[in-house]
Amino acid sequence: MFFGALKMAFTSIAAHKARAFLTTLGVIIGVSSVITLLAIGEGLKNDVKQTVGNFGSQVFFVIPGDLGAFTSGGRTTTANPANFISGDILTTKDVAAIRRLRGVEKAFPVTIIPETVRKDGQPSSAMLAATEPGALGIFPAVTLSDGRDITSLDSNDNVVVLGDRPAEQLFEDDNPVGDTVTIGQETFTVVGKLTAPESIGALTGSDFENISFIPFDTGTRLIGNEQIHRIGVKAEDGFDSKNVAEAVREDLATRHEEGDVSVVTPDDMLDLLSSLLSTVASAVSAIAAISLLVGGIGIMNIMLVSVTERTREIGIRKAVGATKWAIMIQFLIEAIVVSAIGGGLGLGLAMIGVVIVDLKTALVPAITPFMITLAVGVSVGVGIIFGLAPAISAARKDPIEALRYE
Amino acid sequence: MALIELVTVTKEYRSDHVSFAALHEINLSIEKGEFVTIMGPSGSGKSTLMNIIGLLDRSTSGKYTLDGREVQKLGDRALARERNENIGFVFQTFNLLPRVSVLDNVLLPLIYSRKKIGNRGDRAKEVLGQVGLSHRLHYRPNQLSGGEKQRVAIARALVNKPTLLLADEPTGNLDSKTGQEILKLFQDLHKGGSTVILVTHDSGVAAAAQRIIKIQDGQIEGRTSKESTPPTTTLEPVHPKKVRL
Repeated sequence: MFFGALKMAFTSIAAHKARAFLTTLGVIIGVSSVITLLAIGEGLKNDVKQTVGNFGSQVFFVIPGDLGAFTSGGRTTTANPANFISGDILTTKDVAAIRRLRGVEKAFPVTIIPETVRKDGQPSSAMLAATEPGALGIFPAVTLSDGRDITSLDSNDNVVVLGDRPAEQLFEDDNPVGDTVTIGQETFTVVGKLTAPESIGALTGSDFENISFIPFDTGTRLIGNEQIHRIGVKAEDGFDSKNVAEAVREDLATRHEEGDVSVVTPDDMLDLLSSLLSTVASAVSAIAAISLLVGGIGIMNIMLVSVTERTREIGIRKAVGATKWAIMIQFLIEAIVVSAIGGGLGLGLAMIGVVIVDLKTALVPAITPFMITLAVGVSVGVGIIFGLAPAISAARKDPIEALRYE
Repeated sequence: MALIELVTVTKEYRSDHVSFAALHEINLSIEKGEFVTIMGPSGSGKSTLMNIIGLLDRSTSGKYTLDGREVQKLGDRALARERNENIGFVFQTFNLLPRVSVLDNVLLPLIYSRKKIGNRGDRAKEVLGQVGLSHRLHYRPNQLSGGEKQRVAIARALVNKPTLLLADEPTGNLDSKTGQEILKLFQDLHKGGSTVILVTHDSGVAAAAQRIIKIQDGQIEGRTSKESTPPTTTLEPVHPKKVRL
């Protein structure tokens, strides 16, 4: 009986293709928007995971600003978002204090220098960071391929360790070590060249290819005052980085107001992303739910029309022995098939969207088996919920009246 | 034992304190293997009687026994099963499903059947062969003539090997020649052992049966046994082979 009903459902849908397609439009839009968003979210998560993996598990950062305002369920905060890029909150005192804490292997300041690295006037994409010697060790994935790292002897000297990509942009295949570049108005000697990790996040990972280092004091001189945008901390092996991060938090609390600084571990970064994604997902899910509701009502409407149009067929089926249950299942299956076709088309549309995002952006969205199950489940659910009333109405028809229906 | 036994069966329709008796205390007995016509003018109650005999409707009072089973108090599900396994319907307007093939139309009762009748496809083809439509298996109803449509309807009625064949004005939408052919088919089915009840207002059609039951104003007027008299219509053989269920 089930296969008979399934065959009949396809026959009936095939008889009104345009009507069936228009009916499923709401489901198509709802399913495709949710799946596309989830796929993009999954891609973002993978990207961040890859990026986080390029920091060691023992590494975490101290940043200015109140990150908790974004990760604790949107609680109200007076924190100033501009603090995240402030260079005036963290100080060399903080760096020194963190270095003294138990379990801290090393801590160093990072100052982002807003200058372009050029060679003979040609710009590069270098992201210039002023830091202290040893900072390189914090990124296990970024290694020195030529020359040397910054040393304490370079203090205030015009030397630079060039990132992989700017080196390629400015020197092509030549070895840049020993050559010079221009930063602002000053000439710098390239003392080392970095190699970016092979596996990097497409979005955030480009930083690993572009990051280039100059001595901290040189950076301070270039921008005119001492600023610290980040403090990188590496916990000693054998210490739990979470405990060390907590110790750093407690230490910072003795010198800063609550909400002035945050300690960000790789897990915090993932939490932050998940929190942001779930907020966006909630908004899109609400829109998708409305679309599915409209789609469901469309399915219900068209199924009621179909029941009326096929009243005589219902009478014939009852005359030859169909029970109420059999009639109900037949029309319910038809509603489910219509809705599931919408879900399938929505999934197909989402796949096309994913391919476009993949081709046009650095992000690689991913459709997981869970998303496919969700698309099928949601569309079948819509079919059941909105197909039930028409199916019951079909099942309740009186066979004699139904056979007389013109 | 009679196949059909109706005892003081009454069917009343009630609305807003007004009642109308479509059938009034009908007593009727039809034996297994009989070919009976129920004849009466429009509004006489013949279709109501057919619907009650065919278990599409329930009487208001009285007792109905079908093949020894009292079916009066059966639930909807049990009635559907009785219709599926024991009754085959043939309608004036054919009532075929327009969007499916001849074969699928004939297979329809078997979708709902729990009866063991061997391979369903083979059985459907077999009955389509019996009504002379083996060459039309994959046609749609709209590609068939009126006579062919009624043959498909008869094949559908026969496919689940019912004990009773009920036909409501089966020749009403056909020209006289085709109507004769269809009546001949019913006669052949009767000769093959089927119990056939044919409802008609046409005395010429009614004469094809063994026995005529006349109905007027919801009551049976009298019974005509035709066994001793020749049929008033001349029926030419349609199929060379004997039709059997």
